[in-house]
Amino acid sequence: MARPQAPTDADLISRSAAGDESAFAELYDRYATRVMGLAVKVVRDPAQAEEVAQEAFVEAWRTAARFDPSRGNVASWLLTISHRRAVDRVRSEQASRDREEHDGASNPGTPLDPVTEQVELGLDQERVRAALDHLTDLQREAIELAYFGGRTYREVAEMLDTPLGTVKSRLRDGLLRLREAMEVST
Amino acid sequence: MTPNELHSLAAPYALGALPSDERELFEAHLENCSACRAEVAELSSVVATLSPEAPEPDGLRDRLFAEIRTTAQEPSPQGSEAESGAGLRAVAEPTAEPSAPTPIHRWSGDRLREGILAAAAGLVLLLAGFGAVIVQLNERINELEEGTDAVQRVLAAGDLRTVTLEGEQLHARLIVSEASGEAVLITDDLPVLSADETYEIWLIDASGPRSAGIFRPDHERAIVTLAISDLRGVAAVGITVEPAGGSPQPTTDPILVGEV
Repeated sequence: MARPQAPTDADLISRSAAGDESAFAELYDRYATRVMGLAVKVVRDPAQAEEVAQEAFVEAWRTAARFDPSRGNVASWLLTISHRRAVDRVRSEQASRDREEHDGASNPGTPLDPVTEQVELGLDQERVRAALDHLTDLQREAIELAYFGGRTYREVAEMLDTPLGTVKSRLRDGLLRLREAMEVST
Repeated sequence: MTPNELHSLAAPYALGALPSDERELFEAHLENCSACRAEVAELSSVVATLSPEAPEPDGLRDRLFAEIRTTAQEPSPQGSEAESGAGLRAVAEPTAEPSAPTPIHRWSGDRLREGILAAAAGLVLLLAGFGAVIVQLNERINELEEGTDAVQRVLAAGDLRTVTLEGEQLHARLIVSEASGEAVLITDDLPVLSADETYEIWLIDASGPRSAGIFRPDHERAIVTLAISDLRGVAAVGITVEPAGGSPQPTTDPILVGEV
């Protein structure tokens, strides 16, 4: 059976699901920086982001058999896992910070300041910022609060004192506008 | 939630912005709604472009692959099920496949009893003394770097149940932490397999064996991390050799069996 020159992501996932570590290593090399970038953007603290990235890849390895091409591509699947891990981490950190405050202990850790963020994320942050510039202010705000802020759409609605339907529309319209922008720029 | 309201969850879902109860509801809905599946697929690929790249930290790759080497995987779907893209399979869903090979009858009735009795006869008295298990774990940790995080997590979480597995000149021990939903399998002498085979671990309850993961350690003495949350209703644990990717039901006799 002939092998293609460069295996597709889907090939690599199905080989990984059968225990092929070298296939998973190839996948890791393709996506490590994206997984890391998302983790840093959501979790902020670089040490925790690194742990989240490792957890995400371990979960991807463990559940590779569950990847379903009819639901989206490998990149989305992997980044969805990473995003969930990152949000879980933020929420559990928040919960323990709340407990500590309640106990009267000091509040450890601060979010990354904008300068550090720029250094950590590098120039690729510009690409994301440029993409988000295509959205209306309200769409961009909703997506940033939900996606990078790790909030549910209900939490966003409450925070903005906006109806649920409005938030959902802004999220959807924002993503559709981003898709149009992608198509134009390619 | 009305159908219209369900459809409106596609964008929040793609952004990971659904509370967990709505996420489960929506995932169930996706099984039956091709329009929503298509929308989610499309929106997810847009969301993926929102991840900026950041430098990969030193050492992450090595640490990751050390962990992966001792982390069991969920078994692969077989043949036609894989090609038809049969939707997102929840972990709890049984991998029942109409066209799968007939389950080996050896697993039912007499053979299973034989297997369990043999295991019981070979049960090491270590089970009675939990301290001995801890000693063995610490010895193993000293030998191997890999798997130590998982062992610490399992030990720390507590609420432990141990199953000793025996086979023909083979020994292993499964330690399940019901508190953390994680388990570690400690193997003493499990042969390293070729690339086209894998070990598969089975939990056997009243309805027969169900897979709890596949793994291919690269040492005979290893610690493997498994996602086993509890042993309720489980009568026995068995390990078989299967083709790489695993099988929906065991296709060979167990090489290791333990009574719970």
